[in-house]
Amino acid sequence: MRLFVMYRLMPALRHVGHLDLMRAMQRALRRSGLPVKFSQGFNPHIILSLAAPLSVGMAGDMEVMDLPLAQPVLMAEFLSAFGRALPPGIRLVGAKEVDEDADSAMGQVYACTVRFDFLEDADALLAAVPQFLALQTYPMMRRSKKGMKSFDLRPLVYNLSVREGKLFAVLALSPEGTAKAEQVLEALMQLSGAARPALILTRTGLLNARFVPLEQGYVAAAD
Amino acid sequence: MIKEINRKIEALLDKVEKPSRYLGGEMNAYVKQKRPGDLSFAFCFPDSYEVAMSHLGMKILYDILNRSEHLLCERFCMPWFDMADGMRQEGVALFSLETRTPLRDFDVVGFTLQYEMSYTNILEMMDLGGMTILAEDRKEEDPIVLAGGPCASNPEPMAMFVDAFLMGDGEESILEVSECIRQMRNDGAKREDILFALSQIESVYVPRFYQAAYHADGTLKSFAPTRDKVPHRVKKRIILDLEHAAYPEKMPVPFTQVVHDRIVLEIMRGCTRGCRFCQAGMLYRPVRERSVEKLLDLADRLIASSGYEELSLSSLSSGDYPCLEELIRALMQKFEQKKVSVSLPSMRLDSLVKQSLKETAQVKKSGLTLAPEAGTQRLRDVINKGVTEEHLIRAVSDAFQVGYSQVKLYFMIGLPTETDEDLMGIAEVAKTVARCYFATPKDVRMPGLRITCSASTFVPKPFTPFQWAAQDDLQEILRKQAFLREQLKLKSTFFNWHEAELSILEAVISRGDRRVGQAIYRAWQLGCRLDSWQEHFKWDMWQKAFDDCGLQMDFYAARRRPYDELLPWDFVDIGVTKQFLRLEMERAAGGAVSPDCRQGCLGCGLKRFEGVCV
Repeated sequence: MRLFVMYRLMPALRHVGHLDLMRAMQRALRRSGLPVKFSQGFNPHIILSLAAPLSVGMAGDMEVMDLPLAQPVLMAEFLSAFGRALPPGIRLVGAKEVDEDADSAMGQVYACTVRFDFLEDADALLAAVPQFLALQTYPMMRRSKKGMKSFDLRPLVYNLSVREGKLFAVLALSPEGTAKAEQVLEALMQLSGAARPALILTRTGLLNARFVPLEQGYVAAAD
Repeated sequence: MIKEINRKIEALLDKVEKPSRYLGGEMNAYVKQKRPGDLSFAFCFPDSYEVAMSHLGMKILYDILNRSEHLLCERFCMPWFDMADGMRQEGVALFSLETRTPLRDFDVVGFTLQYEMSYTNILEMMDLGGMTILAEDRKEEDPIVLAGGPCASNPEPMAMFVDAFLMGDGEESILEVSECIRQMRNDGAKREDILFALSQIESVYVPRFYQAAYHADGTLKSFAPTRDKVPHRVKKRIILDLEHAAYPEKMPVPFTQVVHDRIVLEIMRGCTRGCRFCQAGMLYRPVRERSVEKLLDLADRLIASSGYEELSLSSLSSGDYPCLEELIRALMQKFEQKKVSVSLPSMRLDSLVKQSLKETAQVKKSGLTLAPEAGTQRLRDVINKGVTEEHLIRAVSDAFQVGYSQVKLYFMIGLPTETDEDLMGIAEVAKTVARCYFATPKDVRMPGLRITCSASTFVPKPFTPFQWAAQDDLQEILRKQAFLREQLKLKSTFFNWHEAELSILEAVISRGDRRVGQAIYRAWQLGCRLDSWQEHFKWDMWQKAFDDCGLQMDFYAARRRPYDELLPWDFVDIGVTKQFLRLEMERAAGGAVSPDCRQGCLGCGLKRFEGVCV
């Protein structure tokens, strides 16, 4: 049996790094008593993968874990056992069964949606959003393994919109190209000349190449 | 919307190097609501989160306090430099992991004294937490500051800062003390009266009710209570029945990797070996054990509630646990399916069981750690480390045969009576280990021999037979380290040593008197904190601090103390008697070995406690 498991990483745990989160998930699975699969070798670990690492400092509303199980379990049973085993800052949203040979969750991710919650006035910064969207290109530098490298941010930003003082972004997240929320922020700061406002970033969802949320068709966990 | 202070904390977390240290929110952490009449207890570990969360004692006491109906306990750790500086800049007070409540808002603030070099961290944490550092300046409504743990056995260097010390096992006394404070605070009692009431509880030392006087040469002249009914001697608390003593069934599971990131099962408390340098071996007497049944039950519960993938057995000398093989076999069997590995730390050479080595190797192979402590049999006899070369050869040969290839050897330099011949003996031990490796058939042994020799500097500690001994001075320690570096230039052998200055300061503080507190205070004012992190240790500032206070480090560390000198910690009845320690010191001077007291009582003094050593 194989599942896509949807969970929420609460803002309180937004500084938990990717590897630490992986370990937390493994320990939660051990606590749950569910029939997990182990890797071979001297230090066996539970087989699971997280669809896309979250940047440290970012919360996640609809994160996806790809989890094979050694034996089939009832969905209701899975949701209840795993939901109870998670620490308070990680909430189980739901799960769906996927074919054993389906593409990995990681392989399906193509884009993500991000919400920028500003803790201080960001009007000046947000005023630059239309300007950014009107541009054809936005060259930027980013750090790569071979030092600084230039890339074009603009085509990797599929959309930006402002509602009630919050910024919502649809950003590329695939091996061909990735736009980071921090880079969008930087671009808007450059265009507007505004200082960086205090904010909390939340990745609100993961999308496939057809811009369909990965969680589509999931069974919701009880609250 | 987010409160102002939380906004500031969130902004700090975005900036610091390791924000996950400050998050809390771990599985199994207690978050309790404080109701009227409840007492809040801040459990402070004066080191980084990673060190704090590796500590068993804190987990035990945290659990005991939170299981009580009218008590709630939250954790505090020492923030790293970037966080501490940021907190000062932003006006954020040191906050608890559970609810981000400032330290000053707790009813009781308790520090665990695990290591002398964490003392400046205590002052730093109090200051960051908005507290008054000096006990005598605290006001009625200020928290009551407690301290306990092994270093509280000589409480004097911290007497200026702490309202009450708890001596010995804390499982019962921490509840009695908390309950006493809770009831008296609810009744509106005065601080002074609460502290007096605490002084009436067995094992509690309230420094403000005692006075020290000194001779012209700086030695202690007298030490006595200044108030009626305050005990002349403070007797340590002993939990006689470890089997039924409280032990957590769940432990917080950190997100970030901590030093000991696993379930720790305390199988036994105390040690009967009587190594003469070892403070823990004297402080934690008598030996008490938990049954295999009890331990298996606890292991089940703890693994189920934590989800940890590793479990380790803890005690001062696990090899002496009578049913070790039975226990390990049962644990292995129980957890094989669940892929939980079992590791055994602090094995003594002579109790190393080949079978148990094989069984641990089944699940996870790591290096073998052994502590011969000294390089020659003569010196091992002096320190009463009853280990012989044959033990060592057998232990490492067995280990190499079951697939180990890495051996760590722990030694001390500067032990009483040590000569260069003893130092050369350390290199001889390393050579012997290498010979054992090459004597193991090639098709049996694992490739990659690695012998690591660690030499720490001997620090004489209170309540050990060497409590009167002089420590080597700085020059001599440095010379010995250089000598060993030359001696240990051997194939597959690596040598590391501890910073000499740090060991000297440790010796000064561990055998310090009340006046040493002034120097600790001054050192903290001069910027000393996180001293045990070598890269942050400011030796020059510590020297200046002692100069500023008119105190000599040599007086405390490098002086051979006469037997008739009144020692600052003499008023503490730790169980072993001064007469016994002196006898052992004299036997050491003659190179005479004392047997394990399981083979016959040596009269250490514990028998005076009812129900002990049956």
